[in-house]
This record gives sequence, structure tokens and C-alpha cells, in this order.
Amino acid sequence: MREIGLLGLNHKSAPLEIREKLAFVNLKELKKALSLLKRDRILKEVLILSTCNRVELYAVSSRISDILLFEVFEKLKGVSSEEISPFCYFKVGQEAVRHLFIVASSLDSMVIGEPQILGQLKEAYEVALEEGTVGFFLHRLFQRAFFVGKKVRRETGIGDGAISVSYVAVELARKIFGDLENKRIIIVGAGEMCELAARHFRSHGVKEIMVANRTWQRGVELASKIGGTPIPFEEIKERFKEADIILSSTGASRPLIFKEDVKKALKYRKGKPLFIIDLAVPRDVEPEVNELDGVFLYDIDDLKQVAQEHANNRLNEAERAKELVEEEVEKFMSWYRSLEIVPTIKDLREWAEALRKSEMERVLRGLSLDEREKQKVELLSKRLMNKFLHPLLVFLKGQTRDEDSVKEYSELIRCIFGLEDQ
Amino acid sequence: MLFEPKKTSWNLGLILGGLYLFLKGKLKLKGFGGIIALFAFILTVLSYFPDSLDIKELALHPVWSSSHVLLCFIGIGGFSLSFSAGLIYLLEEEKIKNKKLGASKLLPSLDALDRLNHYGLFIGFSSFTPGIILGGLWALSVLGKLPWEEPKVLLSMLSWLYYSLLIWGRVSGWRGKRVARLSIIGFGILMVSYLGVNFLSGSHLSHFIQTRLQ
Repeated sequence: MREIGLLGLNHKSAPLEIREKLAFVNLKELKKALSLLKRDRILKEVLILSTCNRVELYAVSSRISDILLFEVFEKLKGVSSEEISPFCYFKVGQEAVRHLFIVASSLDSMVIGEPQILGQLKEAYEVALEEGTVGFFLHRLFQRAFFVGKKVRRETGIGDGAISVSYVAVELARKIFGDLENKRIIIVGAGEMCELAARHFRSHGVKEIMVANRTWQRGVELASKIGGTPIPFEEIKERFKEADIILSSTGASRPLIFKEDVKKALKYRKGKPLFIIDLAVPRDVEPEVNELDGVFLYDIDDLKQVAQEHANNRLNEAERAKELVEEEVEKFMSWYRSLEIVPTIKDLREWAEALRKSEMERVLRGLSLDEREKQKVELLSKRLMNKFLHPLLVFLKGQTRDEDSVKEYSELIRCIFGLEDQ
Repeated sequence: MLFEPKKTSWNLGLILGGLYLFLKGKLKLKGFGGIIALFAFILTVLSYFPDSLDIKELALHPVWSSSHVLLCFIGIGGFSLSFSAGLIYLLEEEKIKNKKLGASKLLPSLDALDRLNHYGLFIGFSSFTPGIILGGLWALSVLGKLPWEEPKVLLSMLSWLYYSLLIWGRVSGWRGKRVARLSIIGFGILMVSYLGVNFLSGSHLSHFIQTRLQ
């Protein structure tokens, strides 16, 4: 009987130094490894998933064991099992299936609910498919895993709500302005945070980005990097009249933007909302600015708090997701167990067919029938055979709740009908 | 007859729903259907309250009555859309301002609400205006004068004036919270003239009939 097993390590089980050793850094290396394993023929089917947070080897073999898979790793990456075994997990059968489904649902990710993992799994699957190391079992298993991953994402809120500060900022901006395409943003400062946030806004369609920095040259540099226009630092307050979003992150020790400044600009804005994001510590914007009508001020703590709320929500949703995964594991295992009964069913059919044929021969020898009549008798025998077998086969196929009953009934049938053991 | 008075608020609900569906695709609205459904429901319930209006009287002037009532209703439908957009705008604005986002995930963006408010106002105004003009002409042709002494007529004119100021504001660039507040107030005035006055001093139509008989 074929058995599915997996040997792997992830960000929880192993430090980066160990993960590095086992990672397959590029497509070429991965393909080479798979084709090597294909030639070896030790494993019936194999698939390797290698991302920055995990390396996992999924294998199907009739003699699956951790030793076997450690040997594979040793052959591919030259690491001994003593060296890596404390950091690895080995799972077999149902446990392996559950693990894969959990990974596909992004429940095992560093950031729960992150969407990349499903894509990475698909990539790993496609590479293995190309190299011809995926057979019907892994094919079925991974198709199911993709399905589960999508289902969990669709039916739970596991991927809802931004959980990094700069994405929260973008999300809030969208909450206020809807489409960001025609919005004007002023970036105050030219540091790393500014650049990162500016890029997020740019990728969400913001076209007009202005950069104001105390040192003109650095402002110009950042502006050219992100495709914005530099404006003189002294002009910021003048620009409040027309901006939609102001993002500030400077190293100043005292606030730069005061309630009075914004209030003056409000007259010209006629109620158009203004979103101010203050990423600096100490803060660049006087907190009282938030008291003004139509102005939304978020400082770094506010953004972090929103991110935290979202993260908590995701954790709650993860519980629901686990239930979903469990249901799917059960469905898959039921199919998996049904595979075990397949040989018995096949033998039973063959036995009956052989019996039918020999009886037919005997009958036909003693009769002189024309072709049409022969066909009728043949049909009769087939129908009878199928009708006798039918309840038995239905019964057997229904016994997939657990492994023991599959084995038990399969043996019973073999015993009754005198079928040879597998 | 097109507009049987007893079903007026039911019709209004229908118009409101229709306007919403029309604008929904245009503004990429999400999560606004609930309040519209609620509105339409309340209006439908209102339509089951007994109404003292004299249908026969309206049937005497089918063209006048249908066009006057229909246009005014589309007008009120538009204004109620801008009212509900304004209401949600204020609620959501409050939430974002106080950093309590929670359920606001399900609401449309402030910008979408602002635009919905805008469309509501314009559709409402451009239908309400000819609606009351027609009403005036109808009164003139039948009564020979405008029934200024009737509170509903006065209040409707007041609402119209108020909304024309609001429209002027929008055109000159007013946005956001200010407009949201003003359209809520405007709708309040409109509702007083539409519903409240009936309770205080008898229905619009009975005034009309009385004046005619005098």
C-alpha cells in the first residue's frame, strides 16, 4: 500500500541557519533535485516545497519512513540526519494530509492569513509536475489542498484587514477616499519609512506624489526614486490646501505641523477630507489636529493598534479555519482509505469474471446456438454476475470511515471468496 | 391611475430602491443596500396606514396629478438617498476619527458616500423643481391662485429654497461632513412638510378641495 509522508522544517521548528542549509534557492536547483529523485526511483512520487519560511518534502512510497526521507535530504543537500533531525518534523498519512491543508490555508505561516503561500505551493506543484515526479496520488492531494486553501480564504476572515503599518495606512486612505488614483499625497521626510509607505501608495494607484525634505538634495533623490516631484520644505503649509494625504516621518525633535496651520488650510478645502499620517517618533504633527472637522490624523501607535486588532481578528478566524481544514482532511482520508479497498474489489471482480467465463464455455459447448442467441446468454450471465456483486461492492466501498474497518472487511471478503492475499 | 394616493409612500420606497440600483453600479457602492432596504421597508409599512385622500378628486385631473406627484416623489426619493448617505457618512466619519474601525469595514468609503449624496441631491432637485412648478400651475389653472395659506405649500417652498442653497454650495465645491449634515437637516424639513403637516392641519388634497369649493 502506498503511503504519504512528509519531512520538513519551518520557521517555528528551525532557526534560519538550519533552514538556509536545506533551502532550494532557485528553480534550477529544485528541478535538478527532482530529476535526480526520479532517476533513483526510491520514491514513487515526490514534491519539494521550499520558501523562506519552510522546506518540506512530500513523498509517496510503499515503505515510507523518516529514515528514508532523511536519506533523501542527505543525498540532495549533504546534511546528515543527526544535524537536522532536532529541527525537523516527520508526518505520515492523515497527519501529513492535515499538515499540508494547514499550510495551504496559511494557518502555519509566520503571518497568519498571508496570501503568498498558496501561490508558492502551486509553483512547487507545477515544477514537480514538469519533472514528472507527481503521480495520481500527489496530484489529487495537492488539488485538494489548493481547494482547501481557497475555501478557507473565502469562507473565513483569515486574510482580512491589513496587519502592517504601511498597509493599514493605505487601507485607511481607501476607506476615506475610495479610489486613490486621483489623490494628491505629500511626503514629508525622506527616510526609509517614507519610501516604503510611498511605494505602497504608488502601487495602489496614487499618481501625484510630492516630496518635501529639509535637505533639498535628499528630497530630490527620494522623489526620483518613487517618481514624485520634490517641493521646498517651506512650502508644505501652503500645499495643505490641495493635498488629500500628508505622510510625515522626519527625525525632528519637535512637531512641524500645528493645528493652526491645518486650520488655515481648511477654509480653502470646503470640507474635503484630509488624511494625515504621522509615522515619526517623536511625532511630527500636533495631536490636536485631529480635532479639526474633516481631518483624520493617525500616528504610529494608532496604526499599530489597528494592525493589532486585525491580527487578533485573524487569530479568531484561524479557529474557524481549523475546523474547516479538519472537515476536509476527513473527506480526503475517506477517499484515501477507499484506495485500500480497491485491490480487493478488483480481485473479487476478476474472480467472478473468471467463474462466469468458464461456466459460459461449458454451457455453450453443449448447445448449438446462433450468434444472436449466444449474445443473449452472454448478456444474461453478465447481468446476473453484476447483480450478485453489486450489494457487496457497495458495502465495501462504504467502509472507509477508518483504516481498521477497511482492513478487516477486506480480509473477510478475501477469506470468504478464497482470494489470494495481496 | 398612476398614483393612487394611498400608495404614495409605497411608491416612494419603490423609487428609492430604483434610484439606488441605478447608482450602485456607477459609484461602485458596497454595503449600502441594507439601509436602502430598511428605508423602503419603512415606507412600505407607512403605506398601509389609512389615508383620507379623495381619489375621485385626483381622477378629475389625471395628467396634472400624475405628473405633479410623480416628479415630487422622485425628488423626495433623491433627497432621501442623499439623507441616508449623509447619515452613514457622519457615522463612519466618527468611527474613523476616533480610530474605532470595527464594523466600518462593511461600509462604502467616505468618498463613495459623498458622491452618492451628490447624485441624490441633483436627481432630487432636478425632479422636485418641475414637480412643484407643475403643482403651482395646476393650482393656478383650477383655483386661479396659489394656495399660500396652506402650510404644506409654504414648507415645500421653504424646502426647495433650502435645497437650492445646498446645491449652490455643492456646485461651488462644498464636500464631506458639511454637506452630509446639511442634507440631513434638509430632509428633516422636507419630512415635516410631507408627513408632519398632514397630522397638524389635514391633508394637502383636502385643502385643495376645500379651496376649490369655496
